[in-house]
Amino acid sequence: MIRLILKRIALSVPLVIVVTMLTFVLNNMAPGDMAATLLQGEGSNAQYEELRVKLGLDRPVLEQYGDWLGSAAQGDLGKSFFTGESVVSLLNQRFWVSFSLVIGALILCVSVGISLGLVSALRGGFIARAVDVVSVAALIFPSFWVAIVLMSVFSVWLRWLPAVGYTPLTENPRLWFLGLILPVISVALHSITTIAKQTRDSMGDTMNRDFIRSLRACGIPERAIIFKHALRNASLPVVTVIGLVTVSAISGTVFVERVFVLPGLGSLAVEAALNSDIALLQGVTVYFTLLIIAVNLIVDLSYGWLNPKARVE
Amino acid sequence: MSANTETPLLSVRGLNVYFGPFQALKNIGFDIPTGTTLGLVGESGSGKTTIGKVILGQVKAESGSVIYDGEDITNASRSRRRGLGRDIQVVFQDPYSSLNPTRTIGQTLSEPLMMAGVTSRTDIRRRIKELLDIVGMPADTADRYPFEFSGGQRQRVAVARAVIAKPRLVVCDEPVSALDLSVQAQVLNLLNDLQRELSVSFLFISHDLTVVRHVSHRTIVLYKGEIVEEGDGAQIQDAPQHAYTRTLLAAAPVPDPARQREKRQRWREMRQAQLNT
Repeated sequence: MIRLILKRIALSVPLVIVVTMLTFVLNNMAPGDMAATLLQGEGSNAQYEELRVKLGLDRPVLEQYGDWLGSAAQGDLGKSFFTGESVVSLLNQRFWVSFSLVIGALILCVSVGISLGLVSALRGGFIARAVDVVSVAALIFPSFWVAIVLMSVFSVWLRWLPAVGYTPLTENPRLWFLGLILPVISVALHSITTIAKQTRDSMGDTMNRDFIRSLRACGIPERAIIFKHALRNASLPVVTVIGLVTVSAISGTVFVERVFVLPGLGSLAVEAALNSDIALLQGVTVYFTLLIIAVNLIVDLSYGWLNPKARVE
Repeated sequence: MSANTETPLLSVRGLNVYFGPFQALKNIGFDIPTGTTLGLVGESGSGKTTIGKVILGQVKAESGSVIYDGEDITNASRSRRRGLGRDIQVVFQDPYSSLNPTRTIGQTLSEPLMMAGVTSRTDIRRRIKELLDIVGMPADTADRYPFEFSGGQRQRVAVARAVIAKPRLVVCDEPVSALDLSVQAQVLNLLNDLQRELSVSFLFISHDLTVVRHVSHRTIVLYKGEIVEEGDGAQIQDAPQHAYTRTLLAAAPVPDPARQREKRQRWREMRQAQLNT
């Protein structure tokens, strides 16, 4: 297992390099740059050129990237061109907002999704059909649209929950929780139905296998058959889906944080891109990439735990 | 073939099973005396597996009765079924799906023992070792996972699981159909040995009369949910009375090209005659 982890960490290095290089180059090709943002449309051409030289934007793209990579390798992600703050400290402040959002969404969609899937696999009938219909329907609605609808119903109309903003957990746990409810639901809604459907299909499949019939013939109680024997076998494809869902939840935060005005990594990424704040954008990219690599590693490790066959290889 | 005069271990009377409007079993009746094997032969869809499921309580019968050791278990309650699990066991066709892939062989084998009330770990371990030895599996099998074994080996483990808690009846649903010929013979011999040692009864379900003849004391032939012929294995194979049995026999291939060609021709004619009626 330790070998697998080390191998993954080693493999993540080239991945981070490729992803950050792409971000760097693509951002460079986009119209507008840091100097133009700082001048805010004012100032002469000479001033603009001078600022470009001062910021080092006149050098070749790859040379700029090389500089960035060199200091990043030493743990220094630079300073935001725009605010002058250290990128690492900016990211660390914002990380916990996105982290609470993603973890909250995961807890919600895994618990509700698997329960719905189990009930529909084992009971069938109305719930099974409802899960089918709702999961297709839910795929149509993007998370930012769900976010706006939830906000107008629960915050504007019913006034039950705060519409926007974020209260840190350390400041007021109750407000922290209330403020996260709608964003978490917006991110999770999609995934609940995806997980429910996957659980239903693979559980239905497993319950028809012969070893389940043998256990029944032994007289083992149905509850023990489901939770001790069937669920673990049925969970392999579900774990794959949970991995995919986590990745899409991470990218979903970009929209949802924007709608609910949450100071997380996602909204930071949008600001950085709009301002052409390349150092900040690179920093967010590194964080997101590392997060996704971590998610995939956890998925692979749980495969080994769930499936003895995968353990050997 | 002994014990015919005593009360049979299992006796099935007037069994009718419907799947919606379709009648899967029509008026089925047979006895399995203690320590004997009843062969149940028929083609796919003839209802042979359904008979096994009714005995195991996994399919509901419309009418008729299943009497186990003098007790009517046709509509046994859940808790009674749990108790019966110790006495009536099952071996399935597919050795790849009949063992839980996420549990070691030892864990799988301990399940029926624990249900039978054996709680001491050393007792369980000793019994598992004994059984693995009887079915001819290496001693370290208990700590390994199903994927490390071949189909034939897994089927031996499935047989071990079925008999480990000393049941009185084992329903074998096509237990050798998924195996190579040489491995088939090994598993069939294993079943014969186990019967002699444990005096367990078998309901042996198969589509292959030759296999059934090898293990059964009595054989019944099932066609479209009805029993069309009954007798001892040799008698049915050598002097089949019913037209369907003859077709079934002619359908099984023989390892001689000339005889096979002849047999094939005969089978075609019989099949045609059946279709015409």
